[in-house]
Amino acid sequence: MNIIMLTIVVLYIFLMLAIGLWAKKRTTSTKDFLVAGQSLGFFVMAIATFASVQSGWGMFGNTGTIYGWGIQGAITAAIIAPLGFTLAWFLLGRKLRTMANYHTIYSVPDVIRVRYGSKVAHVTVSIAIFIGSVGYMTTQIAATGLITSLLFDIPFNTGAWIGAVIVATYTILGGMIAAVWTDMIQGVMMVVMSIIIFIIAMNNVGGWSNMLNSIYLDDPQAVTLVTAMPLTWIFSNTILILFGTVGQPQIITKFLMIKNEKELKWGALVTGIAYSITTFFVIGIGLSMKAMVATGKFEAFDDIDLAITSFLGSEEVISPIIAGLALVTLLAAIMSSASSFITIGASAIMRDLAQAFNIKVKKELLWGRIFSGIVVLLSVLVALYLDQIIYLMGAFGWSAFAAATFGPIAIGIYWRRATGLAAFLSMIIALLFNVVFTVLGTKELIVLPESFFAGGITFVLGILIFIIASYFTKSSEDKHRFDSLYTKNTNGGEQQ
Amino acid sequence: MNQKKIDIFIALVFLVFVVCLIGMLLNVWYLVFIPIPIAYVLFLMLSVIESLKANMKIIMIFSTLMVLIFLFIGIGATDTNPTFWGFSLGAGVIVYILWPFATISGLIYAFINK
Repeated sequence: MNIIMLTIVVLYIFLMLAIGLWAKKRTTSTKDFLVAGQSLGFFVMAIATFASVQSGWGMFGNTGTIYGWGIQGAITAAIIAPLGFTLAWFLLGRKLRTMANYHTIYSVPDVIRVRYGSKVAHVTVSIAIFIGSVGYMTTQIAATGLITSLLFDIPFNTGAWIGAVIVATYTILGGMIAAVWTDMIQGVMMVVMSIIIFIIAMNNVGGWSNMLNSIYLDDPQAVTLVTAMPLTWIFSNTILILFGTVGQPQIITKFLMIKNEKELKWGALVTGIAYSITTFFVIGIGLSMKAMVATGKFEAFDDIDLAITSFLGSEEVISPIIAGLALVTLLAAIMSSASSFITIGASAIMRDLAQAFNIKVKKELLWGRIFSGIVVLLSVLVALYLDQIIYLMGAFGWSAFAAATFGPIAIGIYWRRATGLAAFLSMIIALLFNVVFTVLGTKELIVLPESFFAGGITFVLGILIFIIASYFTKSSEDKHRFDSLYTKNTNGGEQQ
Repeated sequence: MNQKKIDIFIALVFLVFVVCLIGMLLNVWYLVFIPIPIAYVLFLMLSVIESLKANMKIIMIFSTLMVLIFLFIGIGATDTNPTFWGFSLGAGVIVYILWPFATISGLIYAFINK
């Protein structure tokens, strides 16, 4: 490895660990560990939000999808996502921050507990969040292994362990304070490198118009919406990304970290802009590689994920130092997502599940750190040694979170009729559907039509079940709890 | 909060997503597509229901723009000719209009929450 590149990587790692140590001194309570002491300003919160969503899958996987499918691959996770952030700000921002003024709310299960007081819903969402966090982490660990092995030219497993240890160390030390401040640095890196990579990509293909022309001459459908996947599938996926953003735990908890409502004002705009700039990375590499394959500069790839590694690995296309910086940026994207889920997953067991069973945890901070380590260890073990269940863990990812929490939280904090039993039913059915579809699809036990997008269907079903069940399971207690959500009335909920 | 109004919004959301689910299951793409901007606007209105009248103008401007953008995406969804700056009509509207619109959509939050 180039000595300059090695220096940059080592400096990056040291910076992350230094932030972890700095954050450790500022982390003196569970509130600090889980929600950064509810002290964040808008800019840090906004950049941390976008960085925790823009993951290895977003920057790595999406690039391959765009290379393989053409522009159709960019519609959902790349282009439409900022609208999801805006909706999250509208639906959740002020409401959650106000609730947090009157109730102790540090997590998604806390929101469910305060809103409904339903033990089964509380337990269900806590377990789901834990499994989902490990699931998310598993994919991040796998991506970390790939990137680190490319950077250091070491075996994949070794790379995965190194990456896991780095992100685990600073997160265990500094909790969410470390997570958001490293997210800040990582987010800025992602934005800056995305612009640089896009310029380099366009230089290699003679500019935007020339690139599209080359693609069209080779694969005319790649510049249309009717290419790899049916429109029904694409728009189902759009619904999941657009509305499902609101139900993601890493976003919901960010609203609980902000210091006051005034800090919400510009957050949606900053998050949207930052995320959109990183979209230039995926579209730039994805489409430029497609154009370069079309013009014969590269051989076509069977594995679409090779598009990004081939781009970054070719000295004809990009200087090794910038390629190395881009790989560090991908590592940053992975780590920024991973760090949030480590603390979220740890909280789900150590605090939320314990609370659901009235177990009083002494030394919450210590146990928070221990369970953070457990989340990372489980993720590494699954990613490296139990890869046959990775697909099952994946069933508890984005679509499961979206389906399980959108109704109970995004609708429930507005709608007095919403009930805890409805929340539980919609969660459990959504999670079961996700697992069933994942198992049936992966094991090829049934052949689903190409237009069938399980994630989107489960999400919509989750909302419909929540609404119907709320009408059929009237609860005066839930209505009473709703009435005290945004006041200091102690009858319906815990007072701060 | 006016819960009767919210009940109406929830009922409309329900109807919109029923149509959407039918489209997903029967592979009728426009039944999945059309609910997207409608549901988005409904949720937007739900989130500002306490101050809907005061913010109606800006909500209507935003909603109209969003519906128009999606209308043109829908019209051009099955287009196959690169008529819009290198893309088909639907793809071009997504890349050159929806993408910038989505990027700065957070401005509406800032305007409403002065």
